[in-house]
Amino acid sequence: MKFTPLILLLSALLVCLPAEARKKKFDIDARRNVVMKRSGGPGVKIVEVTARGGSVDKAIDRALTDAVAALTFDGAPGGNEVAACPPVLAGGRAAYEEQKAWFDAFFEDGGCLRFVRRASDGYPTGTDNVKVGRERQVRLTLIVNWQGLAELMHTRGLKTTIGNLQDL
Amino acid sequence: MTYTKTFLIILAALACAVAGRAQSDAPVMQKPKVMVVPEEAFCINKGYVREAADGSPMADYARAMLDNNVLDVINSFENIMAGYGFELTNLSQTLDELKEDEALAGVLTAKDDGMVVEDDLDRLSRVAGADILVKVAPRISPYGPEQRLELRVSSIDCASKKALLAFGPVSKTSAGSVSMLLRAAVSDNIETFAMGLNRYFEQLKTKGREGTIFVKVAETCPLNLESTVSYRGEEGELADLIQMWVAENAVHGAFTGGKSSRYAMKLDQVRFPLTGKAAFGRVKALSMEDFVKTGLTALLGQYDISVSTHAVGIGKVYMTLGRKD
Repeated sequence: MKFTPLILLLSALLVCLPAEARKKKFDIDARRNVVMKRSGGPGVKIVEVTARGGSVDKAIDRALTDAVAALTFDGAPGGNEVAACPPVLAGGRAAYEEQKAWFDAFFEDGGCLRFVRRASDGYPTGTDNVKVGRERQVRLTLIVNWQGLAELMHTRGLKTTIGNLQDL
Repeated sequence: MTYTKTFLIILAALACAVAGRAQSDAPVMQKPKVMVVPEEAFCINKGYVREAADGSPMADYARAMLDNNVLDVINSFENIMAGYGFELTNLSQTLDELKEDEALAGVLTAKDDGMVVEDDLDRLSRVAGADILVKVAPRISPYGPEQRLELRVSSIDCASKKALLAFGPVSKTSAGSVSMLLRAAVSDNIETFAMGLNRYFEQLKTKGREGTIFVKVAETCPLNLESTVSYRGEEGELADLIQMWVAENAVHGAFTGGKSSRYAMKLDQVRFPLTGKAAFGRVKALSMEDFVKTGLTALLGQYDISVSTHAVGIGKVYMTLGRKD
């Protein structure tokens, strides 16, 4: 009876605390599984991304970030009738080191999400959404604005794979 | 003290204004022009041919441009490349201009002295002022209930005839329209293609632009390429004098070729700088014609030789030596 107000107060605090107290840190060297699916038109790339997370939502968030990061620094391999996509940045990994703080904020704070969107809503089903160990693995089709990324990087003073033409 | 501060502020503001103006006046590189054309092999295989002077079939670009598939590919390419900052020259427009261009045909045609023949692509790129030719070859075939497109694309530098980048054959299959297939094939590969051309432009900045100088001696010229001339106390042939000037002024002195006869000379792979001093000491972006005018024409003028130049795009120039009036 004495401790009831204290218990009630602690319970209220637990409920009100944000679910995610920390943002996920961006790791440039993390392994990403991003493959070209087809071209969505000039400057737009449709990719297939496989990503893992503690929950389906976290895995989807991870997939969105991976798609942008992969096309920005590494490019994406192609397939049978699909050509590989070159990276946006000519310097690749080295360009990340030039503006590390900005890139970390860009990927951690969600600035990258305006360059990517899902091809379909809802949760993936079947083999596109499986439990692997203690994590969920999802496979999504995402649409990435490659040209928009290139223009943003160009305004940041970074060398892009097509940047020189705009400089002439 | 107040006057000193005011004076220093005004001085600093003036310095910034001058520096800013100097920066904005810095010459920029001439943007290379790109023209998309159907491949010669494609034209010949599809029957878009006309007869050359020796009876052999040669590509008829005017007829090829009436093919809807060719038009779709060229239009798709041009739209996408323009979006990426390329400067484009339209083939249809160039073909119309070519019909009116007869003036230099006689000057540039081969003679017994071994002058370079100007083929159709050379004429197209000369009239269009194009530096890069992108050649496309679409092939449509049935694939069960669908259609299959195989697209081959290559590019060459007009001046040096060097192959730049190619992709294909790209294969696309769909039940959709042919134009949709063509657009998908082009959009799939355009970034890689643009990246390759971008690397080429990077190389231009460091190593200079590559080009060719053709020298032809007219009948009225007081000297020929084997005539002995004196320069800086030394004697040698006129051809050697021209080669010496090119070696001293080209980037890293790079060039190949030489005299082919006493009346003709071809200097290949001449690496010329992107910017230099033109007339009246003004620094500007250079073409090959501007490059030879930075000093070679004045040098030859010392020997009573007049030089008329004709440029083909940015990287080629034809110099005709005559008598100075």
